[in-house]
Amino acid sequence: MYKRFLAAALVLGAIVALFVNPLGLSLQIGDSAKPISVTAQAKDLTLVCPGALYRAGGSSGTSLQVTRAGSATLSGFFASNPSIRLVERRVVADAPLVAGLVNGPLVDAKSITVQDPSGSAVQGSALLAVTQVQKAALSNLSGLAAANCVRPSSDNWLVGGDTSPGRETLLILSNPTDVDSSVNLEIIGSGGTVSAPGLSSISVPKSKTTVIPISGVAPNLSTFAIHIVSSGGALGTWLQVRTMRGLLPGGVELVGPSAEPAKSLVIPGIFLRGLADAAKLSADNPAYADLTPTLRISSTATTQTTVTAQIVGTNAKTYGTVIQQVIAPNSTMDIPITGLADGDYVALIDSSEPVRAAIRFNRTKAKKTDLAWAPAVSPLKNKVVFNAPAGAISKLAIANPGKVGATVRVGSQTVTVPAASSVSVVAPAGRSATISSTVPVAATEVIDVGGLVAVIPVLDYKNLGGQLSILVR
Amino acid sequence: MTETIASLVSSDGKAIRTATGSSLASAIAALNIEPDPTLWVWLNYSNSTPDPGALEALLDCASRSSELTGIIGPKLVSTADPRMITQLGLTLTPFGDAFSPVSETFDQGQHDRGGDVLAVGTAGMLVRTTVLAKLGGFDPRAPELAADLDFSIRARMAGNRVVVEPKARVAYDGKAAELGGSMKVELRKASIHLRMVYSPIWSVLLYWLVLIPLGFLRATYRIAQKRPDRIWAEIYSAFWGFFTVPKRLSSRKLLPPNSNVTLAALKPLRANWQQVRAAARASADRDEAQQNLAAFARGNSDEVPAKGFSAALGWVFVLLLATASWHLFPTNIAVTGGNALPLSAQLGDLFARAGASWQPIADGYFAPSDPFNWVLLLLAALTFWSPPLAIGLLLFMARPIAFIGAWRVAALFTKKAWLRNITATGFALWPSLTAALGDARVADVVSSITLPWLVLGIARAAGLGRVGSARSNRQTWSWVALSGLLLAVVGASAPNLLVLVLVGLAVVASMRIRRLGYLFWIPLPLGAIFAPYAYYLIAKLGEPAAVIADPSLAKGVSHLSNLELLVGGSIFTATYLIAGLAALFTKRWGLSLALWCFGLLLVVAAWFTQQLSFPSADGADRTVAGSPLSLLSAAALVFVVLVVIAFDSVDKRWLIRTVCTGLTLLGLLPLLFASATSAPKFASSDGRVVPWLLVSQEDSDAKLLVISADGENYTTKWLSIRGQHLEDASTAYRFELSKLSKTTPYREVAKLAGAMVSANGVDIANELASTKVRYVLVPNNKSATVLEIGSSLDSVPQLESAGVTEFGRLWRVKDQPTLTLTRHSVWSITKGIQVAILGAFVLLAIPSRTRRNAGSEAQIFVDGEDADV
Repeated sequence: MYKRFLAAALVLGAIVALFVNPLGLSLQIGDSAKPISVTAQAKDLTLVCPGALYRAGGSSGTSLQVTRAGSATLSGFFASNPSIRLVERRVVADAPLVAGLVNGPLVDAKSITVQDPSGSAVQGSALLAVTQVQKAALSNLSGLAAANCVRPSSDNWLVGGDTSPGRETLLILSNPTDVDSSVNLEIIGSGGTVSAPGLSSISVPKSKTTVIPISGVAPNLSTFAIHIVSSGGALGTWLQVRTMRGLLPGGVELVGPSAEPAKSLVIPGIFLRGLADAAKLSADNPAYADLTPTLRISSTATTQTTVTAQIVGTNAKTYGTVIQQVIAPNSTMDIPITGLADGDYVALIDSSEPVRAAIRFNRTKAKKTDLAWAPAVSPLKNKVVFNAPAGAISKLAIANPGKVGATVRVGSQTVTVPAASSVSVVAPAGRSATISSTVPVAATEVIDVGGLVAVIPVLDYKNLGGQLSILVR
Repeated sequence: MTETIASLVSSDGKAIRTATGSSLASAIAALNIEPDPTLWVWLNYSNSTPDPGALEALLDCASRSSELTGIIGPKLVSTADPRMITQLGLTLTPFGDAFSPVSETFDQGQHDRGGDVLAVGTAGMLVRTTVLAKLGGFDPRAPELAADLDFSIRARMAGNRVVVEPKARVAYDGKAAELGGSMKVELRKASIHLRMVYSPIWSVLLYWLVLIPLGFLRATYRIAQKRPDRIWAEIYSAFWGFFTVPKRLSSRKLLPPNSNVTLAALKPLRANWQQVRAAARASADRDEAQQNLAAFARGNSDEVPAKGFSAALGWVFVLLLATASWHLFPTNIAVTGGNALPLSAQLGDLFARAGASWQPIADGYFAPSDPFNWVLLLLAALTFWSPPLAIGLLLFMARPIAFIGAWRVAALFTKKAWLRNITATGFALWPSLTAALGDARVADVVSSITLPWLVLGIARAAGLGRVGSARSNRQTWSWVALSGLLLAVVGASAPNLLVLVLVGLAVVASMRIRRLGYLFWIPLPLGAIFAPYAYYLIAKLGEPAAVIADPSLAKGVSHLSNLELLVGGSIFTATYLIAGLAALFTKRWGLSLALWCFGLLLVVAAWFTQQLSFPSADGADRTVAGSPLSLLSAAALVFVVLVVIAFDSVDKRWLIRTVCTGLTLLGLLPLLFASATSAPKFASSDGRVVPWLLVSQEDSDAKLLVISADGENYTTKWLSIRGQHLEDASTAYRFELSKLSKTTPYREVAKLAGAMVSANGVDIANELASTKVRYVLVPNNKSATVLEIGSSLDSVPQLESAGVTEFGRLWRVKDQPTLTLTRHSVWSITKGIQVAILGAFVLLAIPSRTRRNAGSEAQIFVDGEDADV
């Protein structure tokens, strides 16, 4: 019998030994194929700017045309060198190609291209970065609107806008290429995809800008995100969002293409001012209810998505709040952010599925309001350049969504951004500055002109190319 | 050396003189005969023992019959057992083969009426001297076994009678004793000789022309007959007959001239089919009886038979497991996703990818393809009307097949039906199999569900286990062939399991060393399909360890912790392991300890496999870890057998109830729940791997470039326009890719892809022409880079958009000349040999005799499990 016990003890011992075995070998058998490195010259970098704001209905408000109102101011940066050349062309039929300018007034949409026949320049916003700002003070269009000039793309998402009464959203589609483009729109509302006639096969001829009032296809919709898919020429796309409260203009903003959907997003640049005034206004008049900062989340996931947003202040006084919501599959949701005091905030969003997000907030001073849409910004991996327009107070909100602190160099200043927090830096007006960081950080520029506000994300643009690693199977 | 003894005897029984010689001819010559109708020659051998009255009886017969009687033969009996008749006259089958109508028969007086026969054997033959002289003696050119037939037939043709006299008994074991191994060859030679001598000359010429192909055909038939020992005889004799035809033709000169008796006229004396069949059946029955006796001698037979599969309610569990696999039911013809791609819809394509021939990988690749492709071919052949369906059906039926296999393996160890059911169900629900099924890891699934059948096959072939013995040699050959094919299947599907399986086979062979003659053949099909592949990896690529790489697509599996490895991935199997420990306290503790060691060795091997990383076949990940799932399933089988051993001797009712309840509640039900609720990671599809547009242009050498991106890293697949099917995955290519990717064609493809994704307007006409790329596909994974690539490709002047398909966006290369399809041979010498060996084993494995022992037939032993075999 003792033999059997011995056998059992042996087996048990072997099992325990297998269980606690701490060994870990890592044996590589055979060489795995290495990607082939290919130097491919990238396509010339082109940015397209939306041009001056549109005014639907003309000055009387009854015209059927949308016309440009006033002019925007372009401020930009171009890292000039002898082997490259900057050219520009207005996005109107038969406009000539002329030497490019990155500063100055702008009415029509225009494209700016860095011609680089040798492919020597490194593409990115450190090569070319242009932003436009426009202050409007008309009877039915007032406020500060700013936008980046963007790289044309055939697939864009715009998160923002509202078509309920008194709110106007225009979709600006600018085709700077020599190829006609045909556009299909997908509007994801609070109840899912909006089905309406006129969403498909929208023509955007070459060198032309097409403006589509979203109220025409999705009237009375307060919450949505728009997916623009174009075939043919790539497009620059923006939303022009305008608020009217009765006869009083309540602000204007340009919303640029959204960042890639992700499970973790960061929205810097939520600079809240005049919340007390806003509270008073909205208590008196329900039309001011949308002065409350609102987080818009758009999900294209096929399952329910749980979203947690931490709104984190930049100092001890503004300690922020936390919001948690479940978003239905394939829908867009607005979540009001209440209980915040005036201050600078950053939103750190975690989600169970990849989502897109933006935050709408208002600047209120007595009865004057101006709205802004702060989009989610992808953390920057490379050195980038941003422009602070002349005649405005520009502040850079730098958020570090990572787990380690970042040392960020903005122009000549150096700031430290601890993990999961945000820092605001004042940028000298009328100058361009370089941002570089030890770890990827997200940055947004908040522009203030006379109590009006506009927000533009700091982005990096490049066409595919350079040193590509390609694995051939 | 046997000597021939010829005696000259007179009609009254007096021996005049006797002479000996090394052959018939020399003995007769030494006798120096004067032809005289009253004198006879009596032939005998040194190893034949005539009864004392034999000669008298023969001469008595001679005196009673007419002058025409030329040859009289005795009744030949066994030397060991004189009651056993070994020969009583000879004749020919309708096919012309020598045939002994009475052989190996108990002498109960039933054959005691003598009379005319076609021929008699030389042992104890009494020949009239006049006949001997007239016929010119025995034909020295005739093969040994044809000489007697030839002589007798010539006597018949010369108008003489040939009779047997059963009263004359000669103890003689036949030529088999002296010929030994060459007996089979001599038999066949005799047939060929007789045919060439006695057929009309025109048919002899025809026969001579087809002799060699006929030899191969007959060899094939012999395999189907489970007579692999006859293959050599058939082929050798065919060549012998072909090249010695002048001798056969000169033998024709000995035929009696002016004879009006033809072989056709002797038909009444020849055997008919019924007799031939009866003799074959009797021979098989004798064989079976011998096996039964041997089994009885080993003590393998049961007094009380165990319940069969149906009686043990096995079907209920099969249904239960099929229900638990409802997720896996194929809703369309092909399986896409997980670790599977659809199979090609043409069986011919699958055949072209098996073995070693040209493969349509990249710009053409010549290397042995995965041995696993033979398994895919076999699977696809089962659903030949729609090959891709095979994978879906396999995944759905995997659990029932695993159950039945494990049930039979359990039956080798126990008679208890409940124990078989509960353990086999446990094996079929083992989490490693569930994981393999959920990921559509076809290779792991195949090896997991084949393994119990392999164990069963080897046990039957080796005569191991409770009901382990085959019932006849024919059945043993069937089991050997089946085991050979199953071993090839397991080895091709799970090379990392192979070493341990071969170790197991070696252990079995050493335990049944007398069965080595059978077991020796089992690894042959595996060797046939694996050797060229292994040779290529080891000698050509210098990667000996690559032979244990997972075959086919070999995507990664989630890494299992030490605990998960032990329990196969889910803690509920711990119930079985604990129950298995109890086996160490039974009477069979020695066997249990050996099994435990083997099982744990398998787990260690699984752990080791996980530590290995191989070049990957797919995706951006460049390496992939080995899959431990097959090894874990093998370990599961061992553990399940241990549970069987543990409870086989349990007879107390309460204990049975406790064990049953415990195993069911703590093991089976949770595992069943987990199996039924785990959603598969694959989907059913219509079996296309490329858009319809490309399907319609398959007859072309054009290539398809599939560009995908993971962040800044691009992966380009350079595929034939028909896309990548499951059988196109090649392990050799996987290991050779690192070398190949340094060659110019691959650099050109990379350059082409780079130029396309950056859309920089560089001239790519040369690269397009040399790489034969006619279409570009960008799979849509909704990432930003993919959209970016899309807009880049839109602006490449040489490309035009061909639309959005379910596989992604497609572009066509403009203004390129049409490419026709180059036909490549699907054959190579290696492949021919592989097909021959596999074909032979398949023929050998198919049971040839389905006749069941009827209940009324007397049987020594009643095997209650006949119905299951």
